[in-house]
Amino acid sequence: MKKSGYLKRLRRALKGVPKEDAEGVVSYCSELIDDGVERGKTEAEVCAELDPPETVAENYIRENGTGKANERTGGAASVATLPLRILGCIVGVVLIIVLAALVFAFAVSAIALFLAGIYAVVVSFGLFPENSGLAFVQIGTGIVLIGTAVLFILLVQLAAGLLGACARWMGRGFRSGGTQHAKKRGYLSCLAVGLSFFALGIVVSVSAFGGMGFDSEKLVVANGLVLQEQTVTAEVSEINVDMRNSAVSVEKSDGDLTVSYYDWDGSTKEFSVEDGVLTLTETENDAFFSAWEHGIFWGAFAAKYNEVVVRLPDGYSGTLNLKTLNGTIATNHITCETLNLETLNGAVAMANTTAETATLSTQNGMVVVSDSTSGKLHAQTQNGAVLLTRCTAGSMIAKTENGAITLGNVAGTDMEFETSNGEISGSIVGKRSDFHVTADVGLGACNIQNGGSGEKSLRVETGLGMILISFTED
Amino acid sequence: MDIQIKKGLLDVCVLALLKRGDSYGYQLISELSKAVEISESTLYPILKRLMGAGQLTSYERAHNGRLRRYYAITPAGLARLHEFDSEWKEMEKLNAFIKGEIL
Repeated sequence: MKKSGYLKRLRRALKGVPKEDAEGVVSYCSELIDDGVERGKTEAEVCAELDPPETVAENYIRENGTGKANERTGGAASVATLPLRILGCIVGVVLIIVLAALVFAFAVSAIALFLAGIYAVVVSFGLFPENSGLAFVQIGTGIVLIGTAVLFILLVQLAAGLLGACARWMGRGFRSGGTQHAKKRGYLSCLAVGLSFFALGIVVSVSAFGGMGFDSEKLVVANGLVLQEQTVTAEVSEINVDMRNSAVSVEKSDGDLTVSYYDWDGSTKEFSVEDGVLTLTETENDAFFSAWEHGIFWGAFAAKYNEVVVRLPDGYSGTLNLKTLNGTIATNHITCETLNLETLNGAVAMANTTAETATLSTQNGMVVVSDSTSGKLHAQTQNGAVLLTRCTAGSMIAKTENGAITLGNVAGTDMEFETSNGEISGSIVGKRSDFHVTADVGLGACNIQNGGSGEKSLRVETGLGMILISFTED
Repeated sequence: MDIQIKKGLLDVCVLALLKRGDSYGYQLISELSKAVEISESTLYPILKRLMGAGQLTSYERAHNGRLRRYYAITPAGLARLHEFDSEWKEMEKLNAFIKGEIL
């Protein structure tokens, strides 16, 4: 062994001794070797004659200690590292809290899965004559629970280990030893076992659900959901639909007038046809609480079961009053005399519709009209955009408070577009010279000039925003 | 030799050597080896202890292009040697007692 190797081993053996003291020992030995070489020996000979570096270090530490806190060298060193140690302990405690939260989350989800499994099976009890799946669901969730327990043991071990390490560190200093490796192996095996139980449990649960042909949609059926399909052969001149939380849509029918909707615990409806007046009213809707009853499964189906569909035969020439509070209203490919679409929270859409008078209104939501013709069209919203595309109306009024008004090839003889905050833009069928324009911009730019001698009237007004209008024939 | 007795004696041996003149590690070991079995791993803690007690000091001096640490005795070290003289007399008395020369 050469001098450098000897000193290297010595430094390693002196680990834990303050650097200054350790260097004292090292330079002492280095000098001994140099003096030996000076007297004609080789480095290797001198190093072989000397005590092994480990013995030197051992003797030094036995006589002088490591010089750390509470030992010979006094408290100076410990004072310097005290803030660091406190910081270390704080980090340790935070780590423990994070780990605790993680395992707690595991435990809670395992328990929730277990309860949900039982609940699902119990609720659907009548639907499955062969209920063997129940046992498997329970076995699966049981295994998940075992996994959680093992993970919990891991947490306790880690916590104890961390606290112990902190305590040791606060005391004599952190010494790594063989036991640390063993502990680490313990943690890892705990983690592996816990996670594999967890995964296995979930696989068993899921396959049990699948194996017993579990169809969560059947839960809804089990809860009194009935599809009502009303076919009306009598002459009808007025249709009134008044909903609360349902969406309403009107489509073209190939035959008779039909109305379809779902009756269920959360929503009861009354249907009647009297003296040519069809009425569908939602008398009660506690969909929100019913959704709670249905738990997690409900959300996926709520929209589907909260919709009223009216199918209107060709050539209908009566009135259509569609009203809801929370839901969208849409018409497509229909003809009627008077059309009133009204919602509070939701969009209103009218497409391919011909109506002498069409009134669309919502408070929170957009209004969309496309490919439609009417004598009078009135579209109104409070918070939302208005979008009119390829529509024709003798009198056309579109109003919003917060939102843009966008026009795509709209035609009319008396048009009025008004918004408080938003842009009014798009194209109008005809020439500029056909119109008498009244444009009013509070704050913003406007690309059309007021006035004109045309017979048609165009009034555009925005409080804040631009007006950018073009004419198709210019 | 009993380790406790040897420990105390070695301290004195080192001080005695340094009373003759300043010296350095290698030389100290060579000299001490003539009288007592001592290794470098035992010498360093002794030097360190004596320095801690203020009985010797050290300084570095250039030698052959490197620094060599020399050790020198202090007045406190001399006092300790003097003290040892009287202690030794006591030891001789004890020795005589052990051998049965004093009745």
